[in-house]
Amino acid sequence: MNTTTQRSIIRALPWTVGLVLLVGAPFVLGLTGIRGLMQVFVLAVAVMSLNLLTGFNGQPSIGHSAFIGLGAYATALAVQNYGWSYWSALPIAVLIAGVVGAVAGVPALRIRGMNLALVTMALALVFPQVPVRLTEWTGGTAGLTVDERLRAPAALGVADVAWQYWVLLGIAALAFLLIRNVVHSSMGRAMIAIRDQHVAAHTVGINVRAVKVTVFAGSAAIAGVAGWMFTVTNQFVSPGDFTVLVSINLLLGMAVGGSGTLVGPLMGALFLYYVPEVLPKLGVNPQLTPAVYGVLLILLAFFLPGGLSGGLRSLVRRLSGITAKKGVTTPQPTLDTT
Amino acid sequence: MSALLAVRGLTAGYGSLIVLRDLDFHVDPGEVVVILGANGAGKTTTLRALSGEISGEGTIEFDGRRVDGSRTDQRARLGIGHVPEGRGTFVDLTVEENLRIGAYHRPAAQVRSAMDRAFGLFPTLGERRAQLAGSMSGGEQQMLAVARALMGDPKLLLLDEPSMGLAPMVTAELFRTLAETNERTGTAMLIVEQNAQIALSIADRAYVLGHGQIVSAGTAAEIRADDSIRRAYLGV
Amino acid sequence: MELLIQRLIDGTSNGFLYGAVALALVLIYRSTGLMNFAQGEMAMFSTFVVWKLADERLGFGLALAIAIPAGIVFAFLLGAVLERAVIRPFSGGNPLTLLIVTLGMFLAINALAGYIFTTDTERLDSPFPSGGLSLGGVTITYLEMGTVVVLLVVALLIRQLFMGTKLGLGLRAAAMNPSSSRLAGIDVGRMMMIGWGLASAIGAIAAILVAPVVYVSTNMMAALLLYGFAAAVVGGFDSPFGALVGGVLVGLIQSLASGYLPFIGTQLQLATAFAVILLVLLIRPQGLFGRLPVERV
Repeated sequence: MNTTTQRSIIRALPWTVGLVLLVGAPFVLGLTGIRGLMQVFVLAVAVMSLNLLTGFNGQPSIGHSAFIGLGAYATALAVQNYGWSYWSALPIAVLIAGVVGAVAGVPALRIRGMNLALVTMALALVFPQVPVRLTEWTGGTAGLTVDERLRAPAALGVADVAWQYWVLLGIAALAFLLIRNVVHSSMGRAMIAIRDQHVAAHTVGINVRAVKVTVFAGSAAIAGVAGWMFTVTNQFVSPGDFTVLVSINLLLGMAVGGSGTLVGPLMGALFLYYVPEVLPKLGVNPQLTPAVYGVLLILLAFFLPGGLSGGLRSLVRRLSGITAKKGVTTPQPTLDTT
Repeated sequence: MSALLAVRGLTAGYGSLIVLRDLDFHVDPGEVVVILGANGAGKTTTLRALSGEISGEGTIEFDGRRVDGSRTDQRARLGIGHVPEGRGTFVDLTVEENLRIGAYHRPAAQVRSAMDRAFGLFPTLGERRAQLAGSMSGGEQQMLAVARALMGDPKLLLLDEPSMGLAPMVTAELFRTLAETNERTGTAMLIVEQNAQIALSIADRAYVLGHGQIVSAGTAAEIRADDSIRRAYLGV
Repeated sequence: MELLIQRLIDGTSNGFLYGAVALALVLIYRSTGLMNFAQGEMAMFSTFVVWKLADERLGFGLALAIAIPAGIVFAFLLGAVLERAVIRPFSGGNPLTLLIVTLGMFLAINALAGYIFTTDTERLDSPFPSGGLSLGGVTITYLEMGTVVVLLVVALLIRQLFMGTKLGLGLRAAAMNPSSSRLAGIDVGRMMMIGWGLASAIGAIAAILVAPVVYVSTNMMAALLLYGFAAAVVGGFDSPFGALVGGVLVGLIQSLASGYLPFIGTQLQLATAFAVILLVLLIRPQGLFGRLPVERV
């Protein structure tokens, strides 16, 4: 066996073990644990979608709560008000979020950097008002409960919640693989080139406009999937679930994990779900969780700009004695501001 | 007589890139000293280290006190005026406002007379006091930069390539004014200049910098007479 | 006709509030080059300080004449401290980092206000008498009049400070060309702190003026901040004068749109701010009075 295959086996090992553990989780964990992991999957896909746009393509978004909300509301309305199945609602959720994302991506061709952050924040602030305006249809501020749940195929003979868990796990894994393949493709290289050197990217033959709109639409569509997962998990949507604070939390998750990395969103999702669970046990008033988040966000930006995955990578590098070439540090994600 | 500026063991650079290694030099009160050297020899870096825009190791003593731990603005208030590379004009402000900024740390009562003196040295600036600085020509902006630095009543004026981008006539006029200022006010000057001929013509002494180290030093006359330096830096 | 005039009056009065928030945003943008997404939360926190000092039931029951100036001074200090402690370490850093830092401040200040004060919605009395002047079916409340007058005075004072004083010259110099300012002996760091302090104080004044209408709560500033951003975008992000004009324009647009476009109604008023931001950035990114930034390579 040559060293290359050895290395790739060693690399694949933690992934395989992790996946096996996750697939087997419903047989071991209680209901709370399973539900918790489902929330983690929702968050993971949400952070992945943001990371695709902001981390890899340098287009900042404080508006992903709106895209997730679109997917979630589309699902809830289709299932509850129109009697569709969850599965038939999935393409609708993806389509609506994706189309709105494409529409939002067009102005993003002209509006960049901080201005784009501003526009997307405006979107995030306006979105929760829409269901309130359409109260007769959406339940308004009180929210909308979905009575139907995603049911397991009878042939399998498993509990619905286990089935939901596997479905969400599968979708999260698919989203991960999809993004990984995109990032490693020529499209991914173009995305990163645009992020790092916007003006120069034009000159090396990259169709900047097409790439940016596509990434915006794709990112929003994946956020729509996260919205669908949200409704499957909670069977309830309300305007309060999709406020601008959610967007900021997703940015936090991205920054914590390491923006512009593949593994980052997974770590970020674990962080976003488990830290609020753990903090009260450490004696922190739950009300202060966002304050801890905020301070952490600032400290991370200062001490660990590469996020956890970046920090982990340099730690591994240091421990394994492979001294990095001088001057090579964790790539710092930048913003396409030009 | 003790030196106005005494630098010992100055090592400085940008991040891990070391540009200056172990420099020793001094400027006496009222002296005009020129630093010559090829591009990339570390001339600009030397001036930036003196005004604290970059930090380094070694000691910098100015007017009897250590300043190497002080911030840029503190050094400026102690009397180190710096006309930076690219002039540092406040392009959106008027000529008069630019000059007022130069005198920012001085009491209001002295600003009036400093302004009159500046307009005396540079009559063009007086005619254009209400004009936006950015709308002036390169030569006028260079005069403004010198005038702005002089507004602070510096004991030592650092000048970074004052002739850059100027027509020969304008350069000659500028150096005449510098010499005149030095004579009248006794302001010491440390000038970094590509145009060695003209710089040496008003200088008392000169240092030659090569690869971040002082390779030669002497009076202006000695430097001008040195054949190897003539060939390397004076282009004759 | 009367309804139209009423809407114009209400829109103008609101517009001054938006203009004040925009002015705060512009001051920070000019000095630090960043959009301060935490501006609204800073103002909200300062308003809670006023409420805590003034409230008779849950606070110290001080007179508004004491509580309001104290709150404004607090806001100034808050801005200055945040600049020094949180923003300064990142100066010159990349914009994504600064964006994340201001969002971190947003989260932290919002949660701390809820923890220290309350997550409930509270009342803060108006510094002006209730009621107003009625003229043929059109009413101008004393609060509206007071708001416009106070903010006009604030704007003129700020203008005088920047254009007519030595400190103002230093503030402008430090914002335009920090390195040259340092060489001229200006303590740029102190100027940044003062700039942030001023911006924070102006934001707080706007928040205190709007508090009698929207009440005091941790999310009292969400809408006002967005209108403020819209106003800053309309005026041009680097123009203090534009901020005020932009504020009044946005106030009028909002008032007329919600009055005459049935779909918008009261709930979707915020969408007008969104639409204004989007359209201006698309059609005239530099706003009415701003300058177009140069494309950096």
